[in-house]
Amino acid sequence: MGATATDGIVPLKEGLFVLPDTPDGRPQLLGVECPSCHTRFAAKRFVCLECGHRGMDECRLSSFGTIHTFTIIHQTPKGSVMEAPYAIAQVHLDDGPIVSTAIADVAGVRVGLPVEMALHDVKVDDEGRRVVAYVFKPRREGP
Amino acid sequence: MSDEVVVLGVGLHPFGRFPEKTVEDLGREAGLAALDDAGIEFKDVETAFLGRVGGSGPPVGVGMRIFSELGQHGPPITNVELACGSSSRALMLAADSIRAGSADVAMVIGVEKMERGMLQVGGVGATNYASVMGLNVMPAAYGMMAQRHMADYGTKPEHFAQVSVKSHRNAVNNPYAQYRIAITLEEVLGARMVCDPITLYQCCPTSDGASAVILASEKFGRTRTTSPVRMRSWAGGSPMYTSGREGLGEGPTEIVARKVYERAGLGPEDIDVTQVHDAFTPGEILTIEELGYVKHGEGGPFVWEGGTEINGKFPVNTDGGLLSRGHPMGATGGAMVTEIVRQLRGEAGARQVAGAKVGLVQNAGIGGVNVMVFDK
Repeated sequence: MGATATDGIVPLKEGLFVLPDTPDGRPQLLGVECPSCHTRFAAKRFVCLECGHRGMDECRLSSFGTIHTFTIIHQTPKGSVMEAPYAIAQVHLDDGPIVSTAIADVAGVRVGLPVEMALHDVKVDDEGRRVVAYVFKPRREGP
Repeated sequence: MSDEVVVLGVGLHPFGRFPEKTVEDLGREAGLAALDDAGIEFKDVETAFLGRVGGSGPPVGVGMRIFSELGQHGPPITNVELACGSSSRALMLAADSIRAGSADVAMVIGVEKMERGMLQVGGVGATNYASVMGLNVMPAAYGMMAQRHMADYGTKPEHFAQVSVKSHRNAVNNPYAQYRIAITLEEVLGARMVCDPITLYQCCPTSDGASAVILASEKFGRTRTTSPVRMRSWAGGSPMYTSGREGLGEGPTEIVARKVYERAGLGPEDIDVTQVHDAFTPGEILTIEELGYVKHGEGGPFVWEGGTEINGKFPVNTDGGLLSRGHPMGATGGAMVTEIVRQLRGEAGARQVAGAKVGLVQNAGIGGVNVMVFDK
């Protein structure tokens, strides 16, 4: 295997999102898609809420969305890697699902803000690798 | 009608912090108060339900332990858990038993002992991804509801803060309330910010406490009182998937309220006194809209102008609500019903809504919603 954009980077938790394929790419959340009606869901589930089909396919969700609503948390919860004040939001992804996520821009967060997914450094592990979580940040221009 | 359900007795253990008492102590004291209020003995109770979430005390079988403290004549005992809506769901199951004719007298106790500090879904220090990323903070759900309401309708931070000013003023006159101190709008707005726009004084406390409610068939009720409060209609629900709009559809309160109004043959304009689930201040503003008291978007100004005060058009949370009476999760639904029953009996003292004949309770827990209407 050749060098990739993700050498030396590990996700905080496996199976939730995939790292960017290219250095300027975006990470993507892993969701599920119904093979029958093609409705997508952010949370893993077996039965389709839309059509009742049993058995879903894993899929990569859109890296882009819009802030449905948000709040700024001013008290760091015990056990959290986020330090207050930090913003969290419900983001309506362009391909349908709603996801709860931290937002990287506390000052600019607002309802209706177009956002895109990005990596967030949590720590460096014992092997010197960057341990990353995902956040959403204001959508940049371009693809 | 033979299948009418009446409220025969209500009772509370005061809400607050009682480190010296067990959940059994709290539940027993509320239960005995309700039995005395009903004028019956525990052996008259044919079926019993306990609402409780968890917290301090034994993890299982608490219903058995608490009801056994009142007596042991062998009724079925059922533990009911719907997070913060546990005892109101228990009450609806008890009412169903009576309406179905399987019992003439049913008793519900709600109880909780809680730890101090900010509620975190999944528990403090949980190691799942959402908890580690700081997403599982309970007030945040209400903060996000408030922000969307502000963006859609221009609702202001002081509208939410006013809910807390009103609830604290009401709780001053409630001897069972956890916080019996009035606070000003400036104090609420100036308190430490928790989840924008919700400040510390817009969050309910964690609490210890218990509630008890005794229901009976109307036939049995008439042997104890000539004019009992009736539990006229009730319904529960949970979030409904809306095609293409997962998580964005109409909330359960609106749907359940319509069902309850239809079954009772009345509408929002007929409700004289109301209890809503104000774990955080947006709870009152959003719920009075969902109950149809005001149009969507008008809740903030309505509260600001005094519409939910005791002498307002739709008095809400006359006992101080979750914000000031306290919120021992499993006990809350029963406490809401207790206040409505006292209001309809004319026993609410300085909190009394003049001439209250019809009352409504809305209690929510982890997405589930219970709505019930009482009259006299």
